[in-house]
Amino acid sequence: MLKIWNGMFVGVGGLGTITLKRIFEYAALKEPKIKKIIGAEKHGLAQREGAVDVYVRFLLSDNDEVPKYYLTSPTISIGEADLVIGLEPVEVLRNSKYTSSQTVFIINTNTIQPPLSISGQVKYPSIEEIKNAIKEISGSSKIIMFNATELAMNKMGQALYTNNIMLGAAISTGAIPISKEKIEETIAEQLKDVKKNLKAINIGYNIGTDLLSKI
Amino acid sequence: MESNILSNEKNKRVVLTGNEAFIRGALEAGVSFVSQYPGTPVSDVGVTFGKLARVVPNLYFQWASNEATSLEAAAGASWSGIKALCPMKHVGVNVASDPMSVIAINGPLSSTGQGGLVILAGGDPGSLGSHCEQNDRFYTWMLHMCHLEPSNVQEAKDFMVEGYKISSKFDVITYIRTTSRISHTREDITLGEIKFNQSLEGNFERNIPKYCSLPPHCIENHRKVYERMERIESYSKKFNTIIPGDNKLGIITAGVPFGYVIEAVRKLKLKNVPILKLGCINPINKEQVIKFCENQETILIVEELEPFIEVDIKRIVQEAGLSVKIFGHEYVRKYNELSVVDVVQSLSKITGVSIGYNEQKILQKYNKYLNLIPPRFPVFCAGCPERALIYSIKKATDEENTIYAGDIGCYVMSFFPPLKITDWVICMGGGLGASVGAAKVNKKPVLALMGDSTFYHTGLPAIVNAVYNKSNVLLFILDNKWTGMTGGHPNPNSGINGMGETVEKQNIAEIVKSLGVKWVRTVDPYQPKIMINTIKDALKINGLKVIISQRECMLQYQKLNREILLKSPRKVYYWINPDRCQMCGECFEQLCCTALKRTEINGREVMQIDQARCTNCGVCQKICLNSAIVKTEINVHL
Ligand SMILES: Cc1ncc(C[n+]2csc(CCOP(=O)(O)OP(=O)(O)O)c2C)c(N)n1
Ligand code: SF4
Ligand code: SF4
Repeated sequence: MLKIWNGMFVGVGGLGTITLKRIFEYAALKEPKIKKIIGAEKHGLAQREGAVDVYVRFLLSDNDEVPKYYLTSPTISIGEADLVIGLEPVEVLRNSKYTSSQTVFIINTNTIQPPLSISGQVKYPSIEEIKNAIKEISGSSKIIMFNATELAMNKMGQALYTNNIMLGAAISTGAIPISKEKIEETIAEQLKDVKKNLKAINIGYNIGTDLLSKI
Repeated sequence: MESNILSNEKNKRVVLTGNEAFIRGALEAGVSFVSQYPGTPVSDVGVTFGKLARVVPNLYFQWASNEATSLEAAAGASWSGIKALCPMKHVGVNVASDPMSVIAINGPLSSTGQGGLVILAGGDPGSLGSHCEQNDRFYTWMLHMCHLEPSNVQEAKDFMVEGYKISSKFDVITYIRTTSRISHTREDITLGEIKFNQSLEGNFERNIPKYCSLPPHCIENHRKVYERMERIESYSKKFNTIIPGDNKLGIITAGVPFGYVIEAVRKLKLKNVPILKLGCINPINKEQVIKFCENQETILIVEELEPFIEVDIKRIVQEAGLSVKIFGHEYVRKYNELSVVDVVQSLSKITGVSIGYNEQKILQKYNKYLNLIPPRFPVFCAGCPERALIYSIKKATDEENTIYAGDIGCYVMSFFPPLKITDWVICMGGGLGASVGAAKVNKKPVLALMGDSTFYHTGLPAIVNAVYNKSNVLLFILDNKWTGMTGGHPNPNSGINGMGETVEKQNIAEIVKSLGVKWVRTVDPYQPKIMINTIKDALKINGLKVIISQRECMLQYQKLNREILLKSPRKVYYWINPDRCQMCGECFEQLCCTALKRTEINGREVMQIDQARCTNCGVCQKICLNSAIVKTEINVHL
């Protein structure tokens, strides 16, 4: 059976969305049932704190022979996301048309106000409003929201570890078709400060497990 | 993170971006001379080549001053028998089009048939990282270049290897066109072999009819290029793929839209739709097209932007006298990038098969919440010197009665709200260019912005023109040391070149003075008071005045000094005393630094500084009307 798995990672330029995405890709190379990897990134203008949406798509199959042209688009369509990791809450809402009742959400509640909100011309919605909107648009009940930046600062002393905390939480939901071990192996190969990054994964894993059990 | 660009492990499955795959392909093809002016979506190609050139023997890379000088340099190498690559963005092709028109027609090879020249052109449908949307494809038709378009990352690599074969075999420029969605997509691919036998030892031999473009040679060379292109037409078959099917509707497509077509056809559950995927779109292989179209009732052409393939297919089909109906722009829009959803809609219209109910429901619900989502434009980095200059310009001038000419660089972002002080954006160098006309016919003062990279790129001729014609314009040259917007690339103002060699800076003030500008001042934009006074002084003087706003790009400064900054025993903090903050708007409306945050403290809304993002430029402290912003220095004992 052929199955396409879609991950969508959204945030703001500079938050490390692309690094997070690439961890998924390197880990996917270790997973025999993932036959093909594709996904669009956003570079250039988006780096200037613009909105960033990137995608990771896997073609899963138990059979080694897969059609040459099956998973071919670097971006995803309406309702197709299996997992959303939102490094900024409003950006998840901006991209929520790509989600459905099947989508699992991991959302950092730490906000980055766009210039028009800083200058007071446009209101930045409250976390409650964002959550309710995402819930209604997607129809999903698996929405995990917590302030990962604060957690990283408090537990690790640096905001740098935010994304791996988010990743850990995502692993805990079982929504990633790659095992925790393979992801940890990848982190050990690809990142510096391996110990601290793995610790971040576990912090995220625990909070994810905890929050999931409360849903 | 690990990069596999140089790996020679056989059959290794690696994940690369499209741009990395192009680089890999060029190395497999034996390229040794690479010349580029940066531009999205291909800026990172040059960055990577710059790094590789320091480890791969006989690989040379240069950051050129603009796309025309870049292509000319590449041609000089190729005419001497060296394989050359010239990446540029779509609007860069406009700049390079003048030399391109001659090099393409005369042929890029040496007199003895050595060398080869590939232009890697970065299209950008949807303007994901560009100041305008245009279809650069038409140049290949006009200038007789072999035009390949990969649909995925594997093809990005493979077509690059093949592109050099074509250039070498037929003495043409191969134009490989990528778009943002190929360049910045990562995919798992398999690699070929790099031989690492690059050579930088060329031999140019005189050949007046080939290289000197004047009649009668230019006409003879024009005749010959038609012949070469005709021979490529039959060769180009191998770049095209046919997916057979017996549906009466067939699809012809190329590039990244092919990927959308495959998934859209599946989403609509259309059965056995035959697809002709063109890898070479100039010249298009007629025989293949005719064979593909013969048995179809209808053909839909799916391509982004102006109909390029469509026009040629309609011509081929008409000349062959086929009765098949060909549609394209009637169902596929001619602007903005496409997506699977767009292709689903086009296919749904032409077949009458309706789109899934679920998707429509999600969209309906989504649209209900649209006004809850604040827009997010790209912004100046926290502590950006250009934002500080914009603040001073706003303070020193009467916004209602001043004309502000913008240009292309980070400062282009000053047209976004709340700053909103750019009146036009044309192209690199175009800001001052248009100011010359505006200043002649308007009573209002005219101010123009120009970045340092833009200054060397196309700004110089505009300055010469303004001096020569006695234009009354105040020009700001934003000397931030780097080509900022595209990612901090070196330029003649950086003191370093593409090979990492230290070079003497080409001093902007001296150049400007030597061009005849009498009033030139250099001011630090982090000193708003001085800047404001200097602007006011300048506006009292007639003619072209130049203020050089000199301060290194904050992003580059932080990148290059990360280690030092981390280890510094002295830490500086700027913070806002909530009791003094009156929400007057000076910092958040007039300056609008992104490190500022609206916060509620003790039930009152006040501004605060986000310490994780503040870069300690100190500008907000200098402009605060209520002395609410405080600078604290502490000595950390390490
Ligand atoms: C013809 C052309 N080539 C390349 C680009 C891509 N581009 C956009 S902004 C920019 C950099 C301009 O640098 P600079 O003038 O120094 O301004 P900064 O961004 O540093 O403020 C470039 C190269 C372009 N827009 N047009
Ligand atoms: S990259 Fe440099 S010049 Fe551009 S906005 Fe950031 S600090 Fe300013
Ligand atoms: S000192 Fe003020 S203006 Fe400068 S980066 Fe920090 S908050 Fe922004």
